[in-house]
Amino acid sequence: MGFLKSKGFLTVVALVFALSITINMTNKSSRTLTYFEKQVRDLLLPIEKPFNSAINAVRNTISDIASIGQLKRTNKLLSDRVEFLENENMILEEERRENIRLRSLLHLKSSIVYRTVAARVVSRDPSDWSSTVTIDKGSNDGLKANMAVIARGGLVGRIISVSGNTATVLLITDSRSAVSALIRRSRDIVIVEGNSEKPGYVSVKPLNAKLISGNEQWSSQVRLKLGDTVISSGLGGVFPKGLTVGVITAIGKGKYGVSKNALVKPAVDFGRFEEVLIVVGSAPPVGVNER
Amino acid sequence: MNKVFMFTILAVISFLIQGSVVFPYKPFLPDLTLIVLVVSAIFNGPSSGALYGLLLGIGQDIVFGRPVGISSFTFFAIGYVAGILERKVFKDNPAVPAFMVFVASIANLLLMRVVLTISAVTKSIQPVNLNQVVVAAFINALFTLLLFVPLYKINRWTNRSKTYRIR
Repeated sequence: MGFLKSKGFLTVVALVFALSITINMTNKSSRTLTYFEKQVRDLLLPIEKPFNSAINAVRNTISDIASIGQLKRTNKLLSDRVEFLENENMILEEERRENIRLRSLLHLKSSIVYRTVAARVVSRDPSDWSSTVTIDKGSNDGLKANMAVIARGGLVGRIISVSGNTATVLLITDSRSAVSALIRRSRDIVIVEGNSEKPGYVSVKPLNAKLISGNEQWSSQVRLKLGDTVISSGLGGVFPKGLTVGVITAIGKGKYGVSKNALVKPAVDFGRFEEVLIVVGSAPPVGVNER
Repeated sequence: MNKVFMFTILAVISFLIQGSVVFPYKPFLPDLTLIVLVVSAIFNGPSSGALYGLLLGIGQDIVFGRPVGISSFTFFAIGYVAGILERKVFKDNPAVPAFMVFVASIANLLLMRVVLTISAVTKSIQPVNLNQVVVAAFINALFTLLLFVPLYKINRWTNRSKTYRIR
């Protein structure tokens, strides 16, 4: 039993204890970074930004060159389509004007505008169990934990920690993420969670799930169809209402064939997005219809 | 001093490359940090290997916004075990560190699942796709073969008192 008193063993025990404490202290859905963490992240940012820009430039150039043939064919198709759409646009413009007149009659707000801050993605977590990105804006730009992050297409995630010039965003595809959402067509409320079995996708669960034999059962009220669009519900106060989460691509049976699982392909391409918007303004007034 | 400086540079470079968008498809992303750790450990022994693992783990957690210490457990163990083999393997043959990285990659992934579950960082046990694990480990081993010569030279430069010969 001499090894129990050896220096090496005691060091390992002390280390395991210390690491357990730091993990426990820093394993929170949103938290304030320590002074040391803030310094390290702010120090790396001036290197990360140009490095990532250079990498993106090279990747985009290669991608452009590779797609020249495809671009020519697409160009021809688009030219024909532009002609068709120009005609259609004229008709729609008339309808838009009519819509404005009718809205003003009904005193409805014409569109929802959130105050946003634009940021660039400078780094991504490479591990297979965590889906976070680091952006080049932080508390100095008014960002705080739990602010919603969006990109062209839809919802990206929420901020979980900020330093002076950076922020970490937990993506909706992370298994630790949960977003209250709506099925746009049926208006049923669901929970969208990261799917650890199919990376890059999210799962949909009903909000009022009943647990039977450990499996979540779909409530009879939840009506789903393939191709349904899922949007944020605005419940919970983190994500504004009406942001597109994605489209249902599969509805299957659960592990024991009793429960149902729905898989959602996110609207945002998480493998490629480079710029994001952080919603810093308050949610729109209640009663505005975002459909 | 050389050693600390070079180790910091290597760590920062590996974080930058891994965190960038060079490899958009995660499962086949080479784990450069793990490669740096294993190669450094087999040239510097168990104590240094364990210390490198601890520091690389903490650095990675801070840079990527993970719970601090989560990667250190596995990196500490891998650095220590790789360091134990310092005097027992023909480390001047690139195939040896490549094989060690292959084994370390699989061990890292499985150990990480244990740590994540025990520390309750993830809600449930993360599934393991064995085919993907083996392919990822193979890619890491391949990158070790590519990176071995520069890493070897860096380690030789930082350990000038020791002499190694490369085939």
